[in-house]
Amino acid sequence: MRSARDALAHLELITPTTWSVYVSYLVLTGVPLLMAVPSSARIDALSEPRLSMAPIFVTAATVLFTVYSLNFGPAHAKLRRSPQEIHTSLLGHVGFLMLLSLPYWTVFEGLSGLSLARIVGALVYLTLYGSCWAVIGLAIGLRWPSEITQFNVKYALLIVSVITTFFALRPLNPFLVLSLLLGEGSLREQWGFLIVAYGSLGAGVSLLLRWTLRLLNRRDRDIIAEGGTL
Amino acid sequence: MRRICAWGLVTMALAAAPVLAQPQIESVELGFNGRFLPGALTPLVVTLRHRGPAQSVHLEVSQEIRDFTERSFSERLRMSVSLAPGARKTISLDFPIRSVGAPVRVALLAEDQEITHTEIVVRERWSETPLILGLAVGQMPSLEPLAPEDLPRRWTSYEGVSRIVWGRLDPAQLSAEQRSALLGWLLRGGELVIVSGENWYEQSSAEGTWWADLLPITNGRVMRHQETAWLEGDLRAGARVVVSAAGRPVMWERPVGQGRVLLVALATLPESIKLPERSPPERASEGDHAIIRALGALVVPFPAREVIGGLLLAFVIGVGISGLLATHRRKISLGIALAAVALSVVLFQYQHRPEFSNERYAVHIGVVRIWSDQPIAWEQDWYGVFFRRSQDERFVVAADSVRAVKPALWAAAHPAGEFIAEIVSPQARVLHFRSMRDSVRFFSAERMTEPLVQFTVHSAVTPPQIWVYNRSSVILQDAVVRIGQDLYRLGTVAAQTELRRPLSELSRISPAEWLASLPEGRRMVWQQWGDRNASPALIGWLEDGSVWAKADREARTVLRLVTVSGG
Repeated sequence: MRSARDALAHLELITPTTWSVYVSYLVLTGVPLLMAVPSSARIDALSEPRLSMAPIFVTAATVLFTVYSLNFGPAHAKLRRSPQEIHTSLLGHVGFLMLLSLPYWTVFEGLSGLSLARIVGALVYLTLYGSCWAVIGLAIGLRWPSEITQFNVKYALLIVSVITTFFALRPLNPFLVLSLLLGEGSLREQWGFLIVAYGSLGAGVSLLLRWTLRLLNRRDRDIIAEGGTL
Repeated sequence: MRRICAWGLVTMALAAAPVLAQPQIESVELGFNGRFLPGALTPLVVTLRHRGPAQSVHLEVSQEIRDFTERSFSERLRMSVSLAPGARKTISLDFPIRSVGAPVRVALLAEDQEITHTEIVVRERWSETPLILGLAVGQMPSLEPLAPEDLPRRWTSYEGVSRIVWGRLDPAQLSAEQRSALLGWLLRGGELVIVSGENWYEQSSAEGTWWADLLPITNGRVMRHQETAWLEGDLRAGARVVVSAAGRPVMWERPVGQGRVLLVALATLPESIKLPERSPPERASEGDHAIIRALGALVVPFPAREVIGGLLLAFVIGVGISGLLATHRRKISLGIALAAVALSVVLFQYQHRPEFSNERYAVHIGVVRIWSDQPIAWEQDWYGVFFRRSQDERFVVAADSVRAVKPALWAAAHPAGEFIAEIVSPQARVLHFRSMRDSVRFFSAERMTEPLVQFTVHSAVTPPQIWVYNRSSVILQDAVVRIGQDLYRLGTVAAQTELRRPLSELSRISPAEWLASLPEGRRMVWQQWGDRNASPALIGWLEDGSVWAKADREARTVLRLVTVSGG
């Protein structure tokens, strides 16, 4: 309990590195969102079909959130702090990124006309998904110190995972789940799918945290054994 | 072996028993002698037989149409049917057969589960031109002979019929429903050709005045000229002689609503005489285009892009600047988090203000045509709606017929989907369909009703007196009276109120001035449906929602013209 309080006390969410991540995330997702906001003009559902920017906002927000969360992992692997502090900071960064995008999702809620429950459901899923990848990124950072290797491994893993989950383990595919939550269809018959999706992500984050805790402890032991300090 | 056969038979009988206990579709008759006009409402007579216990089922008629991109559109007409044990029930309804390439499907449903169905192939039964029906006339090419008892009981059944030729038939054989349907069809633009001559004796025996009121002449009498029975009579006001021979009228015409009655003085129409052509009737598609234009012109209040954009931009700049301060102030992240939450709350409240909270934005345009000398009025209404949200919709419509309007341009871009029209009573339909987010839907409805407004000009007194009685439950707005080419402002007439005014008290206004004074929407409706020639006439606006029941969270613009011709 005390260590958790200490971890929170030492939590630094804005650093020169993460600050640019937050700003770029807000700029890159803000452009399609602002383009999606309709003008108070004539009904354009009757006009020629044109590219709708709302799905592009959702896609950009999903992809960038996952990528930035994944990148938080290796950055935290470099920190010489206790495992709990690293985990708290890592999940704090993911949560803070989501918190920063909250005004955007509020605008999206208004322009999509979706219920608040669906939007909250999508954000919870996205946060869990991002957390999962952030912890995987931490494991990659601990396992491969070389940044080039980290880059190759994390993006290869991400691409393979997204493609694979289109065919197998579908509840773990953010595009499928978000298109279900933010789509037109009824959720009445999809409760099972959604429970599996949230449950597996929650379990995934928990298992990955345990695994990286072990990796971090081993790393700390190695450092101490080599005569270093944390 | 014998025992096995016996058990087999018993098993088969037990298996077949539940099927036999279910209602069955015995027969389906379609159109007039099987003929119909594609796109028009077509009468369907379905006979059901039921041997099981009393049961309530839904009769559903549908046709699935696929366009060239293989997108399907399905319109379903559904009505509830109660079947007594051992009942044989005949149900008559009108269904728009839109395609001759797809079969019409008639099904019985119990709790949305299909019990049985039958399909009618319509490829070989359709007619390229509107149908001509013949009643007690000899065989004529392109004419569908019909027994009087087979005449429709609803005016909607006549939609694919352009002309009825009436021969040696007593009009008294028609039931009250059939008379009303015939009159409705005439008011809507039908053409009744009565070949009299020797047939006049049967034709003139009708009791009451309904038949006599249709005729272009009064005091009809049959005379003999060159061994030919020839009808003569006195021309009625508003009627005219359209064909004469040897100084005698051969054919009279009398307009009835938008339609007309042609009375031929002879029992057979001489080959040398052609029926006078009419200008093509107003097509319903003009109204379809009008509602699409009207909805397209509607301004939907969305949260201002400038406000949202400004707030988000300020937020991003704030996050950017805070990054520079973060090294000096560690708790700035908490401030940013609070700012993000506060901004979300502000944006949520702004976007959910009452003016943005409607789920539907609709336009209802319509025209109520009333003829002072007719007991029924014709109401045509169009409804266009823009949906902000995706949900299951249920629209209650008080009309004799409702159909989905599928504009070509819009249909090319958006799948039309499926909709179910449920007949809950002869003049009420409930439409069920799923609306898509940011999508539009259009419907048209028609009904024949009792006239809502009565109007008379008493010219016998000096100065002439105007009498108007507004029987509806809403105000008759901005009414004007036309006499000759002059317009007189009458103003508003409260609901359930009569108004009596001398003409000299009303201010005169030129037609151009009046047109210029109309708001844009009303001007569009007037230019579309206004009758510029009717005199005397009353023109006003009854902007009520009696046809399309208003749904919750719906913003609606109503533009409904009422014209009363021939006071």
